[in-house]
Amino acid sequence: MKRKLTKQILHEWRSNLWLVVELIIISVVLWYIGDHLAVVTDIRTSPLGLDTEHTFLVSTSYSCEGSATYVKPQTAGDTDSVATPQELYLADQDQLMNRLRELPGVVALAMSNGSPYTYNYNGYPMMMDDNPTDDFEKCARPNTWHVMSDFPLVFNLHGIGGETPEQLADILREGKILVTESFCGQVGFDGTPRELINRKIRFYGSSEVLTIGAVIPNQRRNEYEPTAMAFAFIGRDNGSSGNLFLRTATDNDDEFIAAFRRDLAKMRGGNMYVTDITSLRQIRDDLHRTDDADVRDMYVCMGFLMLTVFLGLLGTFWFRTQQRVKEIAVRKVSGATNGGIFMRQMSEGLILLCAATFPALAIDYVLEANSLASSADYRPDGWVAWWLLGALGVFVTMALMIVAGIWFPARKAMKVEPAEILRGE
Amino acid sequence: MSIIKVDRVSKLYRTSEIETLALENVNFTIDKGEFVSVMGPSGCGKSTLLNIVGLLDKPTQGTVEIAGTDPTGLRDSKLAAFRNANIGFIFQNFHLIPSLNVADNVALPLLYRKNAPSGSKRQELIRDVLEKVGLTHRQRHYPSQLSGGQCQRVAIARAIIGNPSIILADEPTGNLDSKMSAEIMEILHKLNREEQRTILMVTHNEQQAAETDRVMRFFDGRQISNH
Amino acid sequence: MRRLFRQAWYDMRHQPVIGIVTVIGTALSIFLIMIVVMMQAVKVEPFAPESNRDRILYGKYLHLQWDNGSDGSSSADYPTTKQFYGDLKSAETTTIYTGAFTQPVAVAGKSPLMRYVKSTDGEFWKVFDYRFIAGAPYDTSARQGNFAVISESVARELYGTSDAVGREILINDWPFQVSGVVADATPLAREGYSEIFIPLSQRQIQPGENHFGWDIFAAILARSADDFPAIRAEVQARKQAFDRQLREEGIKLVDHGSPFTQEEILTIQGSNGDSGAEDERRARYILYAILLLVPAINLSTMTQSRLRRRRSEIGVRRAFGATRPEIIRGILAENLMVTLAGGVAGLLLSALFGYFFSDMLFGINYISRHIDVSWGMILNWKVFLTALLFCFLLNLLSSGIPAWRASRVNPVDAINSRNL
Repeated sequence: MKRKLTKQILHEWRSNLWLVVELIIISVVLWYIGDHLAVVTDIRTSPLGLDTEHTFLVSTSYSCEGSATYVKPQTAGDTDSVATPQELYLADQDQLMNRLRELPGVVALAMSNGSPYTYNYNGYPMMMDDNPTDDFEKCARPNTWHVMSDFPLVFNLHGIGGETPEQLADILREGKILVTESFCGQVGFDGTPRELINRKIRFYGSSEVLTIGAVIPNQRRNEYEPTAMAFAFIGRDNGSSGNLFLRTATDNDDEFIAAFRRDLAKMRGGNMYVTDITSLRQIRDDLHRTDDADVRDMYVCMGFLMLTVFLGLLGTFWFRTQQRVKEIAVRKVSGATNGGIFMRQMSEGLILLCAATFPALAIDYVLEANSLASSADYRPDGWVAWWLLGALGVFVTMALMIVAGIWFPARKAMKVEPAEILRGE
Repeated sequence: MSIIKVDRVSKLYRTSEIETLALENVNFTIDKGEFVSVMGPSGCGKSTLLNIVGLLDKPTQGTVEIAGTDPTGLRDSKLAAFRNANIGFIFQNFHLIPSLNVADNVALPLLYRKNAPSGSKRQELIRDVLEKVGLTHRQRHYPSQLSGGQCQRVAIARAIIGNPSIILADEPTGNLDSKMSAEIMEILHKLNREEQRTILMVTHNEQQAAETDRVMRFFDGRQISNH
Repeated sequence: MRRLFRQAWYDMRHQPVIGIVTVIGTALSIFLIMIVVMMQAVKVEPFAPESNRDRILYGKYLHLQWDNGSDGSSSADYPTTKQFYGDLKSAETTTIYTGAFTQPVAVAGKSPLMRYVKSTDGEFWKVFDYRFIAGAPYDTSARQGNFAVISESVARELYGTSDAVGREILINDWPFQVSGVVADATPLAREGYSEIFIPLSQRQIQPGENHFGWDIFAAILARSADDFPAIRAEVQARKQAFDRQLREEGIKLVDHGSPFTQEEILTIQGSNGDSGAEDERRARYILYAILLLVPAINLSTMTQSRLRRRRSEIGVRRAFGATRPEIIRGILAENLMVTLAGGVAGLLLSALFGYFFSDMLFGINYISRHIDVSWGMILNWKVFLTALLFCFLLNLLSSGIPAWRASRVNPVDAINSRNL
């Protein structure tokens, strides 16, 4: 039976060749896109580090002399000392932050010049302090953020040694810095990341020395960033660095934003005032829009190719059934069951898929071996598994499409009435 | 004056498994205005002969000369133009194009002719030939709406619209009942008589053959009589 | 023509499944191709306020390397931007402007709205063609008063009318006077887009540390795209002079090919990267190829099926004098009817999709605004021609080989095959 079927397939080799060529192309393209999507998904679902759920960016502005809502600062009554503009600014900032801290639902508040989704590339070369020479090549170049001590509370940051956000906040307050696990390798440290605690590091070209207070899990700045680059968080409570972030305990971000915006006029400390509030989720969506769209487009492309397989096999086998009506009638007369006729059509499609899968596998392999596929770069050691798993996924998906495409023609073939067809002869 | 000259023609079909000699050393000439029928059992080579005379097929050996032209070595486009101008075909299965109506089916040869008449002249021509086969009232019908006899009449109209001097008819009445057959034969005789068209017709019907000027008989690829 | 329609219709009636599958397959392919075409078109084709896209070059970013190995890149400050791109002999004019950022805007006493604000010089209004509904642009050469140009919808939000010339607006708490109101722009005008425009401030035109500035860009308007090489040469000479000057301080200028064309600027990989326009184009061509080739193979088996039922017809046509090229042409023309039917459906679908799902298709990073597209942007003669071209290609790919093979058929065999 199977041998006869293979013989028939070979007999119609010309139209089958086209089908196989089509299946090879689709199989390779599906595999390539699928491989890329698997890599992207793997990156996206790996931990970001900071927890940005229910966190918000508060935008502020500062009224200067001459602007509409400028408030002239009250001069301190008894003393002669006149506050510098910077002191006034920081005092207003404190006042505003205290004001925000009292808002219902707010659990933590901190300023930082970096956060996930808001780009900050600031970096300072650093090296272990016991490194005798100032060798630029031996420096780690971590993404360096200046953060207020409560920063770990806002982003629910834990240390790899089990330090709570509160403990990390205390460490920052003591003037020690937090570094990520990946810092360890970059800075050329021999021990385990945990052994970095209480070791000293030095800025390149400077004598300033800082102590590592805790090691935190690796961080990423957005969900599409693949590499675990090194990070260093340096505490800075007396100053103004960057943006104001807060975390709420409420579950409904939109409600919080609406309530916050209603009271926007009250969000003022001296001349510093709040202009807007945005959830980090919104910022993430804005930042990821084109990347998300790319991922969506790839899914659409895969869908299109699968639909093409479906339509192609539907059309081809519909036609074949028409052509083979007589043959099918004769088979039925000779005792073939309906199920047998149905399965024969199905097997034909699946055999063609198998014939296409081997060359496709080879092409996929060539792509992997030459680092042309995404997983080859992403998993230089484990790509063989990615290659085969991807190919298996493609095979199963295409088999499903083929079964769906041949289903209707095969049903039609099954329902052929031999008596009618053969009488017509 | 001969219009068809077949000179020592042989035709050999060769596949990987089998060799068939369809025609073996066939010689004859047909004069202009002759109505010749070809007879013989199935597979005797008569259709092959018709195809070779119709320049649809090439002989393995020997030459044919149609209307003074030796088609050997003519390019496909020249051959096509030559067929278009000189030969009209009539088939047993009519072979009308199902997607075209009667008028368009009849006008098919004009489609492949340079400087073919267009517009009202084309209409006139179509009406003329349909008149000759008695089908003027069916111009807008489709082949599926016609009887077998009507189909064959359309096919005859198609064969003569290009005004060819030669008509090749391959069992033109093979699929028709006797009444329709008689009608078709009458039309063919009229075309032969009144318009001096040369007709070469394959048939199985002795009576029809007897009514033609000459009968050539074939057996196993050989011509066994010619009178 | 009528004959071609009739043949297509006949095939459709007698082979409905194959016919429908063919049309759907074609429509799907053209639909996706045209979506890709439109996505690219809104990026590079001109439309207001970027009607001059094909003769603008953008000057962006500065990348410096110090001898000690450190490396910095950002946008250049105003003086450096002007030094590179300002007052070019080979160009019509140059504008220097900042990116658009949301800032609080308000009328006195009301709570502010966050709207995009862009700072520009006066030339901006010559390079980008905003339509003024009321008032006029500000003139920065005079530098008197704080003037602002606002969009129509901002005017309506703040004052309830588009006639807002002369009214006061607080931008980031600073008072400005509205000098003009312009029609809203689409965010797809990535360089020129903003909701409010104010003159570059004194602070913004100051030299920055290490020549770096904060989101300062230049747009050079050429008289025609033919002048691009001359403009680039002129800029190159200025960059070289700048580089020589920097070398004395131990700094090197890294050139990434600025100024960039519209297509290049969209693919800049950060302030220290080159344009990826070539790669993107290649990727797009591969995408087109896949979107054409895969359905074409499919459709060609379908065409093959239809032609196989018409073998004897082709034989008859050959007998009556059709040459091989005539047979091929006939089949291609017939098939084109089907392809065009699918193509029209695909094009219409893609246009509707592009118009009603513009946010989804054309969304831009960072800008969270509704993306307006006009019908003219997604349905114009260029799009039509492109769609037509792709239909021809698809038709050629899907019926070329079947037509060629049908024309090679031996007429004798074809006539004798009984499948008319």
